[in-house]
Amino acid sequence: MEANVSVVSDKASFLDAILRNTYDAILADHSLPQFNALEALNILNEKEIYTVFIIVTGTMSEEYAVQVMKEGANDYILKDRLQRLPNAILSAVEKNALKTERERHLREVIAREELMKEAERLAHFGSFKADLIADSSYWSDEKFRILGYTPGDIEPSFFSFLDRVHPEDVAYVTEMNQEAFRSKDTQQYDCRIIDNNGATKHIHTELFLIRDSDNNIVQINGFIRDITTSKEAERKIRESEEKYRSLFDRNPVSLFVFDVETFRFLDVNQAALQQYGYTREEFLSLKATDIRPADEREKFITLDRTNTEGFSNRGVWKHLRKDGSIIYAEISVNNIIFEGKNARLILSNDITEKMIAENELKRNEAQLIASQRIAHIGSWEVVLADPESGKEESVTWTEETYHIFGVDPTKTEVTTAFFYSIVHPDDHMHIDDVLKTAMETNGEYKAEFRVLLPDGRQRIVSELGEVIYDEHGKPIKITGTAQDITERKKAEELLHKSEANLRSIFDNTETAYVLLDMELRVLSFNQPALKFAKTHFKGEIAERKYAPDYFDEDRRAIIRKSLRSASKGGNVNYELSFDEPDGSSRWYYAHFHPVWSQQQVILGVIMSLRDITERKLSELQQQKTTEELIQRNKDLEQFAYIISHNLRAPVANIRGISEALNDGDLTDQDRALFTEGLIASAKKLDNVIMDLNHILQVKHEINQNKEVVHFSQIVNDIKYSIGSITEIQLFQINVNFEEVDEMITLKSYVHSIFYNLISNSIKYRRQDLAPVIEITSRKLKDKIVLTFKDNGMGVDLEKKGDQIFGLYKRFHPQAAEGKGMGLYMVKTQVETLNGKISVQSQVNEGTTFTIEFKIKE
Amino acid sequence: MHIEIRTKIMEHPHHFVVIDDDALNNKICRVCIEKSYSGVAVATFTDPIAGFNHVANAYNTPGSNDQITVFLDIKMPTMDAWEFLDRFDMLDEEFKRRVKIYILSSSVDKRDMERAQANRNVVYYLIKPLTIESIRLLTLVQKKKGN
Repeated sequence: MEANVSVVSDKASFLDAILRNTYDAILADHSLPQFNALEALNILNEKEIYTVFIIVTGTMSEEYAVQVMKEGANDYILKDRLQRLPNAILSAVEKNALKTERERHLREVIAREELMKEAERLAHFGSFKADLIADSSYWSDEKFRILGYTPGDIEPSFFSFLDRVHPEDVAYVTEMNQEAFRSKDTQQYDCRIIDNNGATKHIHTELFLIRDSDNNIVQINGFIRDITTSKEAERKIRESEEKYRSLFDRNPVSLFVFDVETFRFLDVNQAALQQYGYTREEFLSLKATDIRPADEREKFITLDRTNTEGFSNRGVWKHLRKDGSIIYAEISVNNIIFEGKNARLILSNDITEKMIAENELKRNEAQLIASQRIAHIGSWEVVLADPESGKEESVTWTEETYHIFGVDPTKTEVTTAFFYSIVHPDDHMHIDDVLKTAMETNGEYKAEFRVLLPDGRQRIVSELGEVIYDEHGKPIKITGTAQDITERKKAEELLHKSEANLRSIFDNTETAYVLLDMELRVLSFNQPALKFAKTHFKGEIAERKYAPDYFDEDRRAIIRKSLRSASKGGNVNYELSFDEPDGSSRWYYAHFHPVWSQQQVILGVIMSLRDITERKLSELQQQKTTEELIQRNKDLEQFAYIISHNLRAPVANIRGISEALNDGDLTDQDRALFTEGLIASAKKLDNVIMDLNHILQVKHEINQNKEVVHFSQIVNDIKYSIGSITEIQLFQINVNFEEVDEMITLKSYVHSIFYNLISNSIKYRRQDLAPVIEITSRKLKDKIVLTFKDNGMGVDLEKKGDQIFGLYKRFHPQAAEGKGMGLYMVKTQVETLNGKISVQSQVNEGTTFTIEFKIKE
Repeated sequence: MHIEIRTKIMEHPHHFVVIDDDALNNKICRVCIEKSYSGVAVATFTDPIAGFNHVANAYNTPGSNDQITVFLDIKMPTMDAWEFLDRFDMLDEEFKRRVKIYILSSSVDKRDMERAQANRNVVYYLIKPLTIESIRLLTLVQKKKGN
């Protein structure tokens, strides 16, 4: 091998050589006269020159060898074994190279640690280590610095760190650490600290845990990083995002974003969700085309492809809500990048209500125009000239106003002067007058005047005007309406004319006539009407008053209806009565009919009232007479029936007996029997004739004089007479005439009624009960009510009810003698006295008769 | 003449029933009937309900083929002729053919006569009094509907 070799023999030359050259190896004799190997080795060590050092010596003690090796010699070779030298040199050199390399590496490591420290400092990145076995902790300088300390200021430990953690985060940090200790190999968390100087910092911590085979933690390595700056930045970004989000989300204007490519919605705010009626999830699953009606989708896509810069107004579009209703949305668009995609931000302003209102307004205007045309009402406005400001007069007429005045709007410029030029000259003064009065008073006026049409005809116009004043009370303009009343005026004139013609006739008839206009207001009336009104209306009849108001409330509706009907061409008539002050009634024939013009136009209504009281009374009398005749006829029929049965029965017997007797072939017994029967029959015949006579007499006795009759007196009389003729002494009559005891009537009738009812109660008594009769009188508003209640046998009214008052009707033939005439007589007499009788009865419980007599106060 | 009629009527054993609340009339009837047919049974009732029961009981007599002739008054207090006829109408048809009902009334009222003629169970309307002559005439009368 190639080698440069230097040989030195003293210390000075050795020094010079080693400083000047770099040697791979140094061979040294153990002892030279003025220098030795140990000394050389010391020099090398002192100079920090690390080269292979081999001692070559003849003799050397073991102790010395150990010593030099200890000082740094690589090897030693005895002179008698020099053959080992080359290998020794090579081995030493190699060894030394390794050593050198290691040392260099070490130096590098040291240098890098410095660098690391610097890096940590620059990155605010501090590391730490805790050896749980040795119970020692290490913090890097930067960790100290991050916590606000100078490295070495405090004893590094977890608790020293925890001292600096923000109080609000202590629990969290503790928990994160404990969690790591329990089960994890790594852990990371962010927390806030307050450093030794009082500054709040955000730090990020990462832990690496080393465990032994028993899973016990033996060491914890970790680092902390100061992330305050990035946290701050993050916070700022978040805040700005939140600001944007809130600006977007809470914006009262509906906003949404859709993807240009797919039309899919990317974002939407609350206002838009409300406007379209979707939830956020629903909306974000839709496309921009979905909120358009089907027929507008194509149009939308086409327009959307037209690119624009910045916000651009896209006009009003029809949009579809979730419920299918359509809204009008005013749309603005801006192109944006949203989450890395080309998107459009849409501003959608719901103007549906505005649109509806506008349409309504348009329609109202159209209606106004139409209604003005139909009613022939035009409106106008005159802005008055102002000499002070030099402002000139301006006149505005609506279309219908032009039409009313017969003026062509395209050929005429309307001024006040022009207005006067087409008004009949005789009416100028009238207009001036009302206008002047209006200006001085409340500003409102009404004027009727004639307008001269271009074709020479005249038209009557009614104007309603109002003067408008400024804040100083100065008139600034006049507005108003104009109405063509020519036809109405003509009708009124015609009516007045016909009225004049008819007045003389009117006043000389008995019938009351009232002439009404089409609004049913009184135009005129004749003398009898005035007289009628004085008697039957609350007030005197007056012109212009609404006619139905004269009548009583309960009659007003029908009067109004009848008059309306007449105003439409109908003829209505009926009879009605009015109460006279003395309580009697007067009857009138009311006739409502229209007044026709020669042109067959209805001008008004005539109401006529003719007094028909006399006729009506005679009619009523006739009706009463007829009713009486019918009753009479019925009576006669009944007589015929009675005669047929009751009168013929004894006659038939007399005939039968006569024949039998005449035959001669009879036993003596039979002959005697028949002779007796003949006498009895003749007697019976006489009785029936007497009864009939009695009945017929009743019908005439009504003409007798009436007198005051006392019920109590009559009952007393009857008690005596009945007591004398019946074997029944034990009957009881309880009376109560406290309410009314007297009545002006026919005494004989009342006596007969009481007698028959009382004697019936005794005749038809129950065998096991003494008869008790209760008679009560009550006085009602216009009648006296008498009740006769007994405790007798009673009658089955369901079976015989319709016959109980019939002549010769008998119900209890075995109980007592009777002709079946009593109740017939009672009924006849009650009815003759204008009364009514009714009966209630229960078999074996008793019978109650109720009699009602009408009385007049 | 009389004998001829007698044999004709007496073809079957015969009963007469007279119903009228007027006992004198019943007596007159009995005399006339007995004079016309010697030995016939004549029952008279002043109570129409008892009279009806008598007629109805004849139906209950087994094996009897007796002809029954009834003279019935109209106006009676407890049951008039119309009610009697209504009740009678509800009886057995075969039995009803054996019963001939004559209305015997003092009434000359047309309404009574018409009503009686309209009733399918009334043979004829007779006006009181019943005489031997009128009984004789009965046999000459055409038999009415249902008889």
